[in-house]
Amino acid sequence: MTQATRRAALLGLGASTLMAPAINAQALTKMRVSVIPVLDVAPLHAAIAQGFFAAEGIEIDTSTTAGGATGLPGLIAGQFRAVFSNGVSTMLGVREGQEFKFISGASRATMGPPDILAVLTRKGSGIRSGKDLEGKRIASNTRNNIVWLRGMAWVEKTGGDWRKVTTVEIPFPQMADALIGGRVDAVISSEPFVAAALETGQIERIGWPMSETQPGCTNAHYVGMGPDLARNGEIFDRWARALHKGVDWVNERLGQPPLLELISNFSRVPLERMRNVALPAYAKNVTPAEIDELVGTMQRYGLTGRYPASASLIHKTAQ
Amino acid sequence: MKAGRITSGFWLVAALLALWELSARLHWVDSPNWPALSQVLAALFHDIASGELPPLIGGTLWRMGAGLAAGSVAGVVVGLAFCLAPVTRMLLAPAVELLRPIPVPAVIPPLVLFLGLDDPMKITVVALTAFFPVLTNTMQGVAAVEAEAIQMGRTFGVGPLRRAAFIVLPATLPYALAGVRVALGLSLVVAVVAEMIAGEAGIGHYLVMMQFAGRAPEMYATIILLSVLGYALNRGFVAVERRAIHWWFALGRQADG
Amino acid sequence: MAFLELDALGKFYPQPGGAPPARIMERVSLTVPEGEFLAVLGPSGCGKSTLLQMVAGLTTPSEGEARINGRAVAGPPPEAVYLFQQYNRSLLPWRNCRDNVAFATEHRLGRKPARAAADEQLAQVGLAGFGDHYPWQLSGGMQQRVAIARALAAEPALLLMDEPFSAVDALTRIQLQSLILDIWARRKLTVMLVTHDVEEAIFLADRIAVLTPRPSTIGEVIEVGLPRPRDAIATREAPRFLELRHHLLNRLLARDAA
Repeated sequence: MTQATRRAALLGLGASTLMAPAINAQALTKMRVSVIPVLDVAPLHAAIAQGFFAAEGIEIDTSTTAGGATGLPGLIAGQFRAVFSNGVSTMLGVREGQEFKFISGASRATMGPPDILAVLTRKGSGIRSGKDLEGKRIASNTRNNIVWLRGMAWVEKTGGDWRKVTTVEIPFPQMADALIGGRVDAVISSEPFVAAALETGQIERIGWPMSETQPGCTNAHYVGMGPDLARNGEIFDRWARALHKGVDWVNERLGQPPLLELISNFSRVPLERMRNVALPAYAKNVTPAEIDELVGTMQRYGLTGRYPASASLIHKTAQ
Repeated sequence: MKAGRITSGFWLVAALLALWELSARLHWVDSPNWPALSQVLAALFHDIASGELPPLIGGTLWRMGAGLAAGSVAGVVVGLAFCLAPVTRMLLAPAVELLRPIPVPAVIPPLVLFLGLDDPMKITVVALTAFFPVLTNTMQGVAAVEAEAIQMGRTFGVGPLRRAAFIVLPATLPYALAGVRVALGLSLVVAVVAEMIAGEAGIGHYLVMMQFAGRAPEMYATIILLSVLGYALNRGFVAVERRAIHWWFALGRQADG
Repeated sequence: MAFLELDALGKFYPQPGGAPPARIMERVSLTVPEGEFLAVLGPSGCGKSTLLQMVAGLTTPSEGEARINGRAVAGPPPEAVYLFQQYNRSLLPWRNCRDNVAFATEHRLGRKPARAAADEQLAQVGLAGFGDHYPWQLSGGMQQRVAIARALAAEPALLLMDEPFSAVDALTRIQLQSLILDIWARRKLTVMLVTHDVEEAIFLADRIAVLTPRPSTIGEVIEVGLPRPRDAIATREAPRFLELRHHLLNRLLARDAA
């Protein structure tokens, strides 16, 4: 499938070369990137909006998937050239033999609160720690992903046995209602849903699962396919250059109106809410150490198995 | 009598909508995900007037229409073939019966693999959804064709293909159209679901974006929009149906299904 | 050479469980010269329609064969047209009367000539100006006229009629019988009519073949011998008519009672 798509693309390219050499000089390389409508992808949108990709001769076509369900499968199927993916999902794929490579960092935890994940409970529930959650129900958007993993680490860090806490899968947008309705005792939520939940006045934050357990830990990355990188490395060099200019643009404007407007534009989150939203640390690179820490944490919380050496998974554009 | 029924139905809808407005305004239901109807309508009119929604609606209707047309034509053709050429039934019926109970979300991953994330995949999903009700009704329709009508064709020396096209097909049409009417409602839903899965197109994508942005009024605006669209499509279809098979209604028959 | 020959026709259906096959009909032999009006008379359920369908090539005989102009019937013969009892099932409700009649010939002549001819045929059965009406807008008698016009449009040499007037009221039936006689004489058709109506058989036919109950075969063939043209009222009052009526009713009722 990948090959057929690529062949079609090459044929298209060849045909356009023959027919319109003048236009070809300006023709852009089209790349389809799978994203999730979350704050972490702000640099990609900044790079698109600021023309960084166009300057590198690349046209980005984003495809938004809820919860990332079609991201990595779409990458394997050749639908996408690059996918925004949380580290746990990527490493689980790698464990199963998929040729995923990190082509850029995307987001990390901040070194201290506030960070983008939060443990929330109903006001007056009396729940303050992982110990209090034993025998109770906690919601994660998906089991066995980065949100769940950091949530379990927080449960343990605050004195609880993660095996005694029942995880329920609830999409982020429905978490606040489930909490208020008493269907779960706590949720591991992510911004901007944390800010929206706190706006109700009935919900309070009791923990920061990332910065309290592993300050600066890894969260999400951009992933490509090994064979594609080997063949088309030059395209990805240009792609990463443009994306990283976007990272710089974002980092220079943290907390400032232009960034909040950009995020509000692509995510549709109301601007007034954006002012209360915590942002992640936007990253360009991926280090072997952070992947090793991730794999170690995964092994600790039941996602066991043999994982390849982390250094071999990091493409040069993410080093 | 008929007018009275419509009126009482209208009042039920109006009462439910009023209950919605009040339950949000008076905080009987207190959640950021339960906006008042007036807020929802304001969001709906805003996004229509701003020009954001109209092309999305157009895109969704196009995918739905293309899928519905393809699935319906396939349903009628296969239905006729099953009844008129039993060999095709022996060859294909087991496969069709095995595919029928599979829920659409389950076939989306393989379709993504083979057809990608864009219109070909979404239209195929809609076509698959439309196929089965049309097939079932078409076969029912063929079974109900008068034997005398077919024998009449034979005595005039009309060949089998012409008999299929000019006797069986028109006689089956009321049943097939009843199947299309069922498929119509399903198609809109499935087109939106397919758009929610991936790609950045149509009402489905708008709905996902609004969910993730925590914009409840826009989410419900989409739901109202879909409900109105579905209602209008059905009314439009019934009007077309009454013209296309006026003879069927004149005979006072009712196609069930 | 006879125009239509029935040579020891028989029909039986296999029974489940190894029982002997159900015999509907056996050893039906008849010779019909060109231009004759033959009526086959029999009680209900004696297999009259099956006999007609075998001649029309719509049902395959289990034994024996039917021949038209010396050729064995295998599939609908081009010389013959079958007029169904249930006109409302054989007319196509989505076509108006003109297009219903045109259906008989449009696959050979093309749509336009077939339509033009259809208007003529409709006029001949007294339905001039009804081309744009749909069958279901017409009375039963008028619908059967449309079916007759459609049959005539195919210009058959042999008209096979299966109780064609049984579904219309008594007066209409008399009118349609006269219409059929008129057409038969003008077009020099050969007609094979199947009926359970004794008076209809006498009024229309040159000869009447009487079928016995199952397994039916031909019990008797009677020459009607009434002068033509026949009159809807006077012919029915002729002594010969009454005599035949007496004889045939006696026979059918006696058989029924037995």
